[in-house]
Amino acid sequence: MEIDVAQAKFTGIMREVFNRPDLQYSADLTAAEVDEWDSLSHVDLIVAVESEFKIRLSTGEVRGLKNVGQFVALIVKKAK
Amino acid sequence: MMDFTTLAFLGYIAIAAVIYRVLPMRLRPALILAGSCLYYWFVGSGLILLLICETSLVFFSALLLEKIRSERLRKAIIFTVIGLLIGVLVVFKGAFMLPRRWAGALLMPLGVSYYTFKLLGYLVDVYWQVNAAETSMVNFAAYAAFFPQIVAGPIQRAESFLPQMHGPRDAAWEGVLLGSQRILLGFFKKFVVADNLGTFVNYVYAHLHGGGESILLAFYGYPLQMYADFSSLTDIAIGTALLFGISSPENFEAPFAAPNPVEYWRRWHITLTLWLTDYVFTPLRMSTRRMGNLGLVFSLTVNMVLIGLWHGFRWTFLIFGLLHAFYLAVDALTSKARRKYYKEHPAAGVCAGRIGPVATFHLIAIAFVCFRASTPGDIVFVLRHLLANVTNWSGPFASFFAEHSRVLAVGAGGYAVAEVFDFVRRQNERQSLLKGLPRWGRWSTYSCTFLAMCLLVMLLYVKVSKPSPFLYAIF
Repeated sequence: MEIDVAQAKFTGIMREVFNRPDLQYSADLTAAEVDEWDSLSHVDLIVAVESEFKIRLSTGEVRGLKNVGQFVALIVKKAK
Repeated sequence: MMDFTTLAFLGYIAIAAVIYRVLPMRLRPALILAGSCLYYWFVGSGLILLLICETSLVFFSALLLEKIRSERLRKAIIFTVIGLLIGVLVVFKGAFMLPRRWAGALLMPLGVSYYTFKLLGYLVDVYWQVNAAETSMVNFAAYAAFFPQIVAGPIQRAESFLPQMHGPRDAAWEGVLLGSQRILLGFFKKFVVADNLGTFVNYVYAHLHGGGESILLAFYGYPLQMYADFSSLTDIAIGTALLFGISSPENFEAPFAAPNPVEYWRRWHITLTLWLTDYVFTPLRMSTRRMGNLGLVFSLTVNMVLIGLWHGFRWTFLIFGLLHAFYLAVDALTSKARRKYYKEHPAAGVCAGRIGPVATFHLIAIAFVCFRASTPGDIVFVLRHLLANVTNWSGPFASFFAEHSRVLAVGAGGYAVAEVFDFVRRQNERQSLLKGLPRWGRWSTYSCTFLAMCLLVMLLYVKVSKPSPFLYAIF
């Protein structure tokens, strides 16, 4: 999967899950910068990502993610 | 016993900090380790052997986890070590349930909950390959045993502590100043707020069924006492760590200003909440993610019950955990709908913003009744008689109040002052206000801090009464 396609899809998912149509993609974006992104909605995001990209993420893989850029890189790696 | 609020402790950290500053940089981790072991020995805990065994076990297991390729073997190692560490913790936490003659042999080792959580978190992160295993035994042991954090946290993560060991930063004067101010704030919260409010709270709970005591006073007083007492421990721990050039995570962030229960847990005992979120809630939630809201409620309940039972295996702590689980589940399940409603009705949103902190404080205060009461029966009694005897006091309580009303006024006033100090401190740390001050302003701050520290030493010297124990140090 191309990284720009993954980025576009991921941005759409973020906007939907956090109900924030104004969110823009940035590789450096972190959960701390989005009020609606907490430990509860984080799992909703993962479920939506798994469903959209037809992948399965583990707790360990998710725990190591520091920002949106790393999340998308993981998606691309798993979707190969 | 070298309690945090004793002259002996202040003397100990002052001497250790001076030695720390004159030693070559490479020896500083060893000094932190030696200082921590000595502190452990001073407080009379004969169970330092347990800390040494658990630290060694986790250190070598982590190195092994990095080397081994077989996933089955890695799983066997991680589950065995987790089982052992949790087993030891459960034995000590549950010791009071044993017959007295056996329980006496199982005195709770100082800080066992805190260092066990630090060790578990580190090991799981190495297993998940989030962090690399530490190769220096001295640095790792200094992390596990770091004495300012051993009594009641904060639970610092290895990824934030260990880099400070690899290249220990110089304990700059600014750190010494901020550390001293933080220690002073801790002493103020403990002596002026917690102990004074505690006088009333303890009286009411000791005479709960006597009739004629204002239970409402204890209902409002206990959360403030608990916050002042527990956060004072954190302040002294963070301040002491700063004297050694170590920055620690915060544990509290104006918790009683939280507009809802979810936000409250982001501001109260932050390091424990984050620890449980990463190592209990998220793995559970990930396993139950296909179960929708049922999975969410289940994960929240397990998490909060663990928080309750972490304080000890008592019915009251279990009820405390279940009640918080209920608050969080209702908050989480309705948050989307509420957010949507407030977007469509901005006036309702503004109104909720004003009422939220007040309502949340009352919910938290109800949960604190469960925490403070000795039995489930007492919880029911307190909640049923909250408004009883608000004005109709018994003779003994009226004379107790008359004799101690100044104590209550000082405690309540001190709480307001402590909140202002904390606010100013947070602003100062965020914006480095001190650096922006003219020279005379900076030197005035240094002088005031120095004088306040001298005054504190003097007060401790003349303090004849036995220091009262910290509420949270027993957990």
